[in-house]
Amino acid sequence: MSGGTSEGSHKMGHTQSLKTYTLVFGGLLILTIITVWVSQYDFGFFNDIIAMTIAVGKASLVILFFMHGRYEGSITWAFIYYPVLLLLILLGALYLDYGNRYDRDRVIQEPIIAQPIHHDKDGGHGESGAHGAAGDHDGDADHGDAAGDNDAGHGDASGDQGDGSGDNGDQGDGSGDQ
Amino acid sequence: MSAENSKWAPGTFFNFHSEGPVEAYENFKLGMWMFLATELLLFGGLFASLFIFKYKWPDVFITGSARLDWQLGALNTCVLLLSSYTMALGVDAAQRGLQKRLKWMLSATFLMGCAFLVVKWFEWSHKFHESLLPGRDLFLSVYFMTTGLHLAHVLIGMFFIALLFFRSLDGRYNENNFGGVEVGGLYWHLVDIIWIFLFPLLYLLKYH
Repeated sequence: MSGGTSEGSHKMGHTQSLKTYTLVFGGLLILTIITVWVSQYDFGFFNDIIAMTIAVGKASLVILFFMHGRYEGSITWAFIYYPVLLLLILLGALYLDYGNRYDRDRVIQEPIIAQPIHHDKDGGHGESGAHGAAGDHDGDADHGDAAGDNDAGHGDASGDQGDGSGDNGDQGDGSGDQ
Repeated sequence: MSAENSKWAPGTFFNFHSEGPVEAYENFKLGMWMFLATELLLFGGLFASLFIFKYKWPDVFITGSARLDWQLGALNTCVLLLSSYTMALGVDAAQRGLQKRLKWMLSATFLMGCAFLVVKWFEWSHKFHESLLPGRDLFLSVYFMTTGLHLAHVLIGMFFIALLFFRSLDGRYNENNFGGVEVGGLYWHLVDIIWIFLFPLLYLLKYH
């Protein structure tokens, strides 16, 4: 709105030089490369913080220059800040909640991690090998998935266990996952 | 076309309240900014769920993220950034009344959207082929929900860019009438911004 009355009332929009747009685009590409590069190092908790900080920087570049945010007035910026503020409150409250729970409460159940199923190898028989190679799961979650996802109900899925048709969402498989 | 247009303030689709052209243009933009705020909250809820699930079950997310092809994700990031760049140049062309450049930039933006869809197609078909489907674990559910909703926004954005392109054919966008292009651009840039956050949160979780 740019004040509405002062200078915004007789002029429609603002133009920037092509060089500005190109520089911003270059900056966005560089920040993308930095995002990928920094993600291969282990900073623990701070990986998330770093990634989100860079993303906020990129988003700010897009808003300020590509979306002409730097020419926008306070009313427009109120509508930029308020969802961000609400999200920060949401995330902060969730962090205070989950971040302060005891470990025994933190993990309610052992999670299910889906394994790829390779349909193209002679029906279902290739699966056990693939799962063995994947290493961490030979438990019932895999067999449940195999029975649920293979259309024909191949021999190994029905042969290895009888209850494969059940919903495996609530039977924590308990086999080691790191 | 021009007679019909004259009933509307330049730079807007509608002018229900008979504002002056600049005020109508400013209100048109502000309306889109308000809508984008709600969009941010929509995706923000999904991001919050992603953070909770990742905190509670990190192994699911590390394993799931490792199965994504981060190079394809990075490629799509660059494609969307490039599309934002061409869209911004398209708005700039409309502001300067450069008809030919406007059409080229809108076409380029649309093509970048198509490129995004092609890459996404390869990613998803690979996942479907391995039966890595939404609902099989938490990561896959979050992955398909967030990228799926984002994909819907890409499709809607491409629809509006195509609309702008066909509207631009009669040369209606110029120095005094570019609000439509600018507002369409605002929406498209939001699609880019959402992906900027999605990319590291889904593809680069090796150590998160």
